Amino acid sequence: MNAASHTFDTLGVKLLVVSCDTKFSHKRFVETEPLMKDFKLMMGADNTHKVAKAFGVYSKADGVAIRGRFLINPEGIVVAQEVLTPPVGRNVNEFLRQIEAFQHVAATGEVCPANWRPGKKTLPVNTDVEAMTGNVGSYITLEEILS
Amino acid sequence: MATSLVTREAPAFSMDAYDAATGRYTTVSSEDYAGHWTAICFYPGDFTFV
Repeated sequence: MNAASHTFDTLGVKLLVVSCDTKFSHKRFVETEPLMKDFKLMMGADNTHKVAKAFGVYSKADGVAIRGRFLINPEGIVVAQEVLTPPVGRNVNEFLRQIEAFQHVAATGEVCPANWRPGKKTLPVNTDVEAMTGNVGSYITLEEILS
Repeated sequence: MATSLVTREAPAFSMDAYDAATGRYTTVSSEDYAGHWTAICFYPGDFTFV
């Protein structure tokens, strides 16, 4: 996340990372771990577990927050979430792709089909539902989706 | 475990924080992020890496 923070900045996305550690632990972690040398993000200290519980990512068994990421739009609505068990890390590029798609939708009202990336074909605004039902292939081909 | 938050209003929160950009202790709350695209990422703990 930190390595991509410039991209998040460019997209106008504010970042907050949270664990159930204390702020003292966060400071020590950033200061001692070589991999954290260039880390510049805001780190929430949810040592009361309230925030993790509110977002549904608190593991009572382990007393920690499991890996959950949430994208919230400017209106305060959660538009995407991904939650993984601890042993597997996330892929920041997929998250960035989703952010760009959600922002494109918010700006244009268009619909971003599977695999959409900036520059790829969207489905049109104010689509005639009756004309499109069972006929999406007239608007976009499978090859265009998979490209 | 709660169900998905997608399509719902994000929970309000307030907590202690460490700002790694300035090296200072501070607090963060949901109000700091109002009106912005915001990404919140939870992770199991400091001194772990995946």
